[in-house]
Amino acid sequence: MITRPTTAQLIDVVRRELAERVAPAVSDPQVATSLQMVDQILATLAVRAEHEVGWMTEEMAAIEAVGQQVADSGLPGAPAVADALAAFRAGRGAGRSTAEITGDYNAATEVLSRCVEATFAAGGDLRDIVTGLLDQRLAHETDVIGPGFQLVGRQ
Amino acid sequence: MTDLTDPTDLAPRLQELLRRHGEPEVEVTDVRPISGGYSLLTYGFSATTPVGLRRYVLRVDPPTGASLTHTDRRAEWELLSGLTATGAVPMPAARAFDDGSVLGRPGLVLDFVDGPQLGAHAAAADGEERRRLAGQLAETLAAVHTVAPSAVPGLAAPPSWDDYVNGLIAAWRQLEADHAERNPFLRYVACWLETHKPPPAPLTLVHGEFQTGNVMIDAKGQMQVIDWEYAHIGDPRIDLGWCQNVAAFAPPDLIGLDPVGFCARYCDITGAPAEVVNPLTVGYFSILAGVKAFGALLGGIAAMARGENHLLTSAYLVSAEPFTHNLWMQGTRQLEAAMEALR
Repeated sequence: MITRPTTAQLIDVVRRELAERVAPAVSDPQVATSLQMVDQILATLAVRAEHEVGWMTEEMAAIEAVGQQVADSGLPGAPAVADALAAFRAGRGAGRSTAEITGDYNAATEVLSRCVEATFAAGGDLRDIVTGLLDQRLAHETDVIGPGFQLVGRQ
Repeated sequence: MTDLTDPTDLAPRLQELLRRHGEPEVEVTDVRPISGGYSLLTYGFSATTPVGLRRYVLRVDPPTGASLTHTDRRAEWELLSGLTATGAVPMPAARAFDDGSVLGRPGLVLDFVDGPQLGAHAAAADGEERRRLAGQLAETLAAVHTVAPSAVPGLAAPPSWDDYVNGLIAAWRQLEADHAERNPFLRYVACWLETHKPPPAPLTLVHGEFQTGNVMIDAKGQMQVIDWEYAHIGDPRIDLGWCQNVAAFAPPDLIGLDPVGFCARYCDITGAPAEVVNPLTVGYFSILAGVKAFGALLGGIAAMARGENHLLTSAYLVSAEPFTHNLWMQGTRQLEAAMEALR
């Protein structure tokens, strides 16, 4: 299959055309707002195309390791974490398509959510480790939307 | 139904609507869409009568499936016509309502505010003007929150403050359960809200979506509050909190300029005690308040994921998710540190 130019490069060309040739010709404020939205969506798609499968794979490994720690912690919420972890492992597919990885990632996220709930009240190092996973996820999410994101608003 | 997005088709319908509301000799011209907002269609238009020319705004339901949320125009009309009669709230007067028999879809007509949005005005203002606007904003919020409950009989009150706040926290959890994918940030927020509740406050009329984009400045420099579709009886701090929450997306943050001074001014007018309304309790509500708007946002995104909607707005608002996650993480950490410092 064709991989050069990359998906991100192709999207960048579309964004430039919209910004430099289409947008100046638009006078309707509602259509102009739509164009701004389209540009933001395209910008996020370019980053996702480059990174999302790799980021999800890395994050799942980290969640599985921390999930095991919480499951073994003896905290009141630990059994719920162990259940989610078992479900994640049992359901994990061998395929590498985006759809399969996204499905696995969703199951891993349930493990992470239960880790949050299990460690929230207890505090301590384990809570910090779990919160660190949230911070890591947030860093990737922020990379996707880009710096300085602001909502397109009423004019 | 004829497409209401065509302004030339709207003019005769608006004429008919105004005639039914006591303007027998009226000509409607200059119908123009007003951009912005994520739910209703909004148009400005001119109405010429023997008395003269006036500008109005039409807020009308979008076509089915073309909006992230659905709210009730009749309920909005009943609230706004009641508030118009009291004159106690700075807002454009409500003039006419249509159940859809004239316009094709339910809508209402209000006075047009000839002036800028507070947010846009504040963004262009210098520091001194922003501080003045912040004081005026505190007074405007206080005016909304001191409306007598008897003026808004159509709004049902929650049984208690605990029911109100617990209901909102439960809504955060439900939001996550209903979404198209798991979201650990929503679960984190629900845990945090449950363990950091502030002291209760008396329930009042609240706007429900109070932010500087929903406040206009009229020709006399007075603030006029618009877009009341989410008004309800609740904790008044939810309006202050939401205002500060939205300012993170669309600065400047007028409350954040001097949060202690802002809350003190608000307390002076409303009589609320400082331990109830202060920067920390407003901060709590800035997070709690997000459930309705974030729910609408996530609802649209989830519907798109299920293939049930194809709205550009929903696709665009996927970018608002990480921004909001960041606000929650930063906000809860800062509030926890400030609460800890006070212990």
